[in-house]
Amino acid sequence: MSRIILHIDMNSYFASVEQQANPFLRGKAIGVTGKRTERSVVAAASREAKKLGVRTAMSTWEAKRVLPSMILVMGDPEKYSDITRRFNAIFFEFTHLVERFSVDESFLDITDSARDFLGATIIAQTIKTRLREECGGYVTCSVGIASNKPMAKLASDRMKPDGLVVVLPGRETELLDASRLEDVCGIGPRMAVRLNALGIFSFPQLRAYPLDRLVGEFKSYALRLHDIAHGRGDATVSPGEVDPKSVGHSYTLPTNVKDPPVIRRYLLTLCDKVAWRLRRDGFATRCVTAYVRYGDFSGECLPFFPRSTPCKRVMATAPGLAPHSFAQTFSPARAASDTTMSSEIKMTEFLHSSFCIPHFALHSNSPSSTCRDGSGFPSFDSTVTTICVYASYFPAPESVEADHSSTHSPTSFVTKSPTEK
Amino acid sequence: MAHEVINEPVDMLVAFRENRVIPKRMMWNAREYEIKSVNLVHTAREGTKRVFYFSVSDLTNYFKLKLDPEFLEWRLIETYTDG
Repeated sequence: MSRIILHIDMNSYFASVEQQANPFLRGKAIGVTGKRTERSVVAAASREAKKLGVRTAMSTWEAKRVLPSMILVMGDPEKYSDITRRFNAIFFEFTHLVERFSVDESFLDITDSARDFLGATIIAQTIKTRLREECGGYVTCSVGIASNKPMAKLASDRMKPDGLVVVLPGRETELLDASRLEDVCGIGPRMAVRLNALGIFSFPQLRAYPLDRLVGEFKSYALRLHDIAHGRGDATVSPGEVDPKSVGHSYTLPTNVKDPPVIRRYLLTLCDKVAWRLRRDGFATRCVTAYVRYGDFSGECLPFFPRSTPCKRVMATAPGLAPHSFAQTFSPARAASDTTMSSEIKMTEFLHSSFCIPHFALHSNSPSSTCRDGSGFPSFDSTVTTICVYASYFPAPESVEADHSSTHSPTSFVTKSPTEK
Repeated sequence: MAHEVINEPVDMLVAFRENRVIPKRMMWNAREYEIKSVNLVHTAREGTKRVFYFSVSDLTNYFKLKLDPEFLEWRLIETYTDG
């Protein structure tokens, strides 16, 4: 028997919660932002704003240009967390198999409680009613019901807001054929371009494409594409949250900045926040990336700790624990060529060294050129508006323990030496 | 429209019904406001303490109120006036 999977997607989530709280915002185009300035991003746009061309993750400056009348509302993360906790509690009334896909999306396996797709439809309607009672009538969700997760997600995306779409087993291809390639989770813009280059622009074309040639192009991912095209997919709902893949912090500067010491200071702060979260969650990292956005809206990724380095793990640890000499001498270029370098490099020290040693000095007067080989930091020809730092999550090795005595943060981690038991 | 951050203590008249606290009237700045609708209630942590936020409105104003259950203190956190 096939599984019965529900995908529940809250509509314009943060904006709907704000409109529920403040009735004078209802029916108006609003954007939830981090800051009430034009130098921020729209974390969520209300359905009214979306209809008028504002998209989520647009800069507020751009959104205001598209829709000058849009009202900016400061986000309230605690409010959203509380509402999320409440609707998750509703889901658990129907099944314990609830997988949190993101802050406003969840998969539910209701095979046992629903028994068939009619029962699933009744459960979906009941969840919608319970949600209205618990969170208010303005906080709505779209529900997709199918026999696997990709199809359930595609179904919920088909009707927004407040939709309910059921895809009966065996009729998945009908939904796929009415969808664009990029509508399906797992086919992003870059994947779509690669498929287009093979002459594949729709799901019927993807189904008809020979599998061996698809494997030649996409390797192991070809099987997933093949399954998606036939309406098949993963139906395993793993209770809890999906493991995070990365942690990142970004900051839009109050004004455009070209001054290297100022940029370095912000970078260091962001790195420290990223490292603190890695320590708190007991993770290490294999790849740290910085991204800067310039005043002309162009951007640049700075692989200051490229994957190609021989360092297998970069530990997030409290400053002061790594050898001082290392902090003074480390550079990614040297790391890339030095095969003897320790595999566990203390992250905070690395980050300190990355930004503080002269090798990474920023030269504001030199021509705009980025050392993409990781041998140095870019020079800045134009002003910087936004700085982001990301680190991939990697499970911390067993030799790492929480260090509750550290004053650097609530939880820090220290690495034992290999000989220490 | 006008949005203001206030964060001042206020006097409240509330009802207790079905294990819930329902704000009814608020006295602030020598004026009395009759609360017509409780739109959303949520909680948040302040250190080890859990506080309650009430998003309420009358016919022209939105108020965000905070109830500190430890001191039973009500504060007006912010207002939003339509028009």
